[in-house]
Amino acid sequence: MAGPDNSNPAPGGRSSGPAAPSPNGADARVEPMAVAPTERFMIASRRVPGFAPASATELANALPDVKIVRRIAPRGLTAFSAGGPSSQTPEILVAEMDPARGATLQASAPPNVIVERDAFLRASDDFRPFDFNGVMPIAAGVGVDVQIRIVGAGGRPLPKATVYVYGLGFPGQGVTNERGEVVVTVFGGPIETIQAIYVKPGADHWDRMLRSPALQAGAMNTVQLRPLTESFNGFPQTGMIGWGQRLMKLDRLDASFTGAGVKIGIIDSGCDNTHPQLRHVTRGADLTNGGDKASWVNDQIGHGTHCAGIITAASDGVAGIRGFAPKAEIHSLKVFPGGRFSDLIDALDECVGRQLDVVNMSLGSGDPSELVTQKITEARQNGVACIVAAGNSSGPVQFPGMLPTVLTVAALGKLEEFPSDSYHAQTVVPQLVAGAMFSPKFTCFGPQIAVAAPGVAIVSTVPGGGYAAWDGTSMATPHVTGMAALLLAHHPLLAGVRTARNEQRVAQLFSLLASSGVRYLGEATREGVGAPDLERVPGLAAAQPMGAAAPASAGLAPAGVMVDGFAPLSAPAPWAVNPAMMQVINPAIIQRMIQLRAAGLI
Amino acid sequence: MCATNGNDQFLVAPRNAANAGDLAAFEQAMQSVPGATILQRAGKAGQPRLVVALPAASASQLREQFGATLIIEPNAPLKPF
Repeated sequence: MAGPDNSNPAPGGRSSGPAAPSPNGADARVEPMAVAPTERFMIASRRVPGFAPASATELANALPDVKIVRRIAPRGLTAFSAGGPSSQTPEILVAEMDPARGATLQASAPPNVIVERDAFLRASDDFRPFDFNGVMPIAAGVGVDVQIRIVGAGGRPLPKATVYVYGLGFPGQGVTNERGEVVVTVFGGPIETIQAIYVKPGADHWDRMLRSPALQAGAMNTVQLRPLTESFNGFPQTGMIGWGQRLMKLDRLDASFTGAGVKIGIIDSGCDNTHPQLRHVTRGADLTNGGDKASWVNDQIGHGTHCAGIITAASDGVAGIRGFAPKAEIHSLKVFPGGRFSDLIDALDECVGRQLDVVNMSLGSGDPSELVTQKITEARQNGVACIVAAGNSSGPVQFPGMLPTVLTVAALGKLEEFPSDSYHAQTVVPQLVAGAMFSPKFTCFGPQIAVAAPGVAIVSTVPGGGYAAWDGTSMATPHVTGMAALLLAHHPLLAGVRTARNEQRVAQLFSLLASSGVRYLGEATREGVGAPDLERVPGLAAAQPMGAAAPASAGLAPAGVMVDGFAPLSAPAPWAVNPAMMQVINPAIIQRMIQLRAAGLI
Repeated sequence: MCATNGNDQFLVAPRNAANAGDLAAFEQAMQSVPGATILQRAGKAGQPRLVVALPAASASQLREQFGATLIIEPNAPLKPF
């Protein structure tokens, strides 16, 4: 899940409702905070056969617009040895620059130059939702206790809300008790220097970001959160279709399209199948626990349960949200918390062994792996389609999303789908807005992006039976996985026993998804061929039952054409079929092909 | 998996089925590395692999020795996005 950081304040002029009043009468002011929009990057030479090594001085001279803040020289005897071992560390430049400039440098670095973020070290490799990398000055000081109470509508206390407090030093955090109260200790200055508070509710409320809050020392400071029902009346007893599902036209598809017969793997943190909308999820394995067949239902971080809701939430017990494929057979393969490449390989082995059709991988790493690459290729050759999140680091696509064997998904956001004082608003970068749509600042980008899907303020299921609105390419990816399941189950070219489980089927599935893409931004490196649209899949309309609400693409621009943007299109991903060609196939021809195939003639 | 005593985790696997025998030689070589541990024997028939804990410097040496026939790479942590 994408976490907050402190750059790019929310754009003004947008609000989904009035500011929440503070029950104790004190104003919780929300003001933009002055921040230095710079980040540190490390730049060094890389030894590559055929390329002359670049010296640190040459690199520095080539970048006159960045500030070199430190040079780290090689140490030890080998530093003075001519023709030393190839593993010798080169001189490293630490440079301070605008994050966008750094990202551009990373994306455009030649093979013999390394450019990478000089990230803060973390104490744990587990999920952490908040980063203030490289921006906050760290100052030692005496700890200050901040008493905070989190309440919902009518002043009802909200337990299990995580509260992050940002001062001049390391941020403090805590979780509210049954009274909705928590004491967070922060270091680096008096209470007046606290710059921001972020509150992540346990469930059923919007999160909230308070900049420059007016906090009182020695008193309880109350922060009120908006319930989701403020935005979705009567939810979850009254059902709602998420903005993402609507964007991809799930609401226009006949309810008989359920994904029945398709096997979906979700490699993630497990799945709480006590949730009323996920009781049909009964298969799984815990790869963090020796492949245990029971403990996958314990989802400690909620990430897998959230992804599962987008893919398969069923409305048997409660209306709730609408999942894409409520009748698909779901296999929850748990690798978090603590997952490593070895767990991912085990999970992929499970996918092949269980003959799964499509696998959701809302995960990745900053490091590549040859063995994982081999295993994903093997899975694809066995007919397992891997749909992978691009990553949330605002930089180049991460591993394994960078592989050509997977379908890589970037995130899209839509304005007016979240409160202006939520963290979701902080993901908006004014330069990346086109009409109502935007490319969130966290999403990874690059030529490997195949498609984009909704990934900001996505409401889905969380452990304990509730719902939460989260951001991330993790949330975008299950939208595409769910749609892929629908195509596998119901598209005439993919459905049925005559379709072999092989690499060709995976390629055809990816092509069909890509052929339905609608571009909203006009920037292929951030959205690929755009967001897949169920109404635009060639041939799917023919599979709709008689009388079903499935109008053809009336009123829509041809696939791949920008609906509302600001720049000309660039080339689609190299593996993709020409979407314009796919779009012009007459449904009658497809119908004829189906008949010929059924007759065994093709 | 058991504790790694501060060592890094690595994945070790043959580059192809014909190199599977080198995995045993790798295990033999590991015995001379202080603190080295086999954390997990995994994989399936024809595709064995090890998860091991090694000091980074020793991993580099073993990679030089076995890199032609074995893939030896960091068993890096995954992140949910």
